[in-house]
Amino acid sequence: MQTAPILEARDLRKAFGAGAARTPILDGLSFSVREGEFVAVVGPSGCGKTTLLMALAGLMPADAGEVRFRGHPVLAPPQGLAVVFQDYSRSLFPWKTALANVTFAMRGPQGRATKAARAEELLQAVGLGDALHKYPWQLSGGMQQRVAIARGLASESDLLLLDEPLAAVDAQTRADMQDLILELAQRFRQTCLLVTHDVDEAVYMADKVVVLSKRPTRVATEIEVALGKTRDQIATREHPDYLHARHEVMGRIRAFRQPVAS
Amino acid sequence: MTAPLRLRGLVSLLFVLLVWEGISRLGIVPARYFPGLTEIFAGAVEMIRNGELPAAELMTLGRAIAGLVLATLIGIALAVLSDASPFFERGFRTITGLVQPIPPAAIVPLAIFGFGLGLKLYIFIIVMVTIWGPYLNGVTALRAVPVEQILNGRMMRMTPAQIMWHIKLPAAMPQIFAGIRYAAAVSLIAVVVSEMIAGRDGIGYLLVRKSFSIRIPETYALMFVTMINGVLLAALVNLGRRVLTGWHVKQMGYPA
Repeated sequence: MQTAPILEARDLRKAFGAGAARTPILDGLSFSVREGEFVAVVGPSGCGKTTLLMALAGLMPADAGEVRFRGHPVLAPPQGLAVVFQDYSRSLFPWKTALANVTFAMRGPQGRATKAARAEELLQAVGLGDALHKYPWQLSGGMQQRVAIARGLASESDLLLLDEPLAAVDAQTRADMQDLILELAQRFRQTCLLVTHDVDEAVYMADKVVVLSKRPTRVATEIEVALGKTRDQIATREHPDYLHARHEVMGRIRAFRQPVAS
Repeated sequence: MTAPLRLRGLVSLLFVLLVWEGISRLGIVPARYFPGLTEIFAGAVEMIRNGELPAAELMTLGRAIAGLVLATLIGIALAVLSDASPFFERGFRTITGLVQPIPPAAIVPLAIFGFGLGLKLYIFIIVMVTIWGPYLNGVTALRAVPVEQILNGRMMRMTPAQIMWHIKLPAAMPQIFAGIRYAAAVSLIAVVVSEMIAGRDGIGYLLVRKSFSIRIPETYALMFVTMINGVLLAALVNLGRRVLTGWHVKQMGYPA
């Protein structure tokens, strides 16, 4: 099932500071996401995952190289690209109810009633059918992030970028949310790019794992995870292919932890 | 939660009145200069009967409210401008530092030369001393809007003006209202002081006239009226706060 790449990063370069203080962050990074794929980007901490996400979303231009979204160079946030940010408590609008937060993301010309019905459907899909009129601060952390995910789906974008969406929720909630995101991605045929520091999460959720090197960051390797679309918290995590992929990814990441000089 | 809080306010008021009456009756201070509540009340009734008090009250409250609304709008507009343009913010910061410490009484003579004794005078003075609460709180609050909320707006391809109107201002509103509440008290003080100096009408003018003719109960009655005005204006601000930032009032769980 080889479809056209929906997002392409080509030789992305980005540095912060100037002169002696110049710190290269991205050092010629290339990869692509195809339609219908679930891609995870994983890398050692401090490798510039957030910088990469900002460049991919068109929120911060790279110094060199280019990002192409549906074939067009990304210079500003393009239509059809949505982001779910890591910190749901800072990303949801506290003055809007769950329903209003989701409808707010629908910028199309549909009527108010159409938007509300669609938002209600999405909130039901994330299991918040009875919290439509609750404010974010009346919801638990996991519930808030589910509102944020519903909002991400609401714009009916061609690609959903997920920036460490589960970093701030507890372990049990995280497992449930991983399955929820996978289920939603399938149900709404949503192409997803997940940025995470969690190797297990990357391998469990993705069709393809892009492993980043430490800073200055390149793509260390890409690993296909041949586990099919349906995953299970117990069976998948015991599957030989899962263990093999995890071994590969973990090996690459841990290699970067070695001290540079002895 | 709200009912006991309101009751507590009433209890505090009763306590103040009781202490007042106690001091008056015990004769600690000469009764002539510290009349009892009944005398003060009679003074107020007399001023209501001859029409002095309602006319003055209408003037003073009208000026305070008009000035506060205008000052709030100007303050928020300047805060938005400061947020959009760091250049403007830096320049205006110096002006803020220079103008903010001027007491209202010091502006009055200058303002009378410029604006005469009409409504313009009061509006000018109130705005000069009242915009700082909404303005300074607005600048701080607009700057403190979580970057994720703004990035969400940018991902929804909103223009900077749309982000300001739909995201930054609603996010900043609770803190701006804290500034407006402070401004409401300042606005009342500015009006009464200006009326005392400009000397033509209003509660401030009446206060000066009654005290100069040594009408002690009336003078105290007018002082109580200024207190009541403070409560009225605070209630008005709270109403606006409930309408515009009801979510925050609910989140805090009590009317702050």
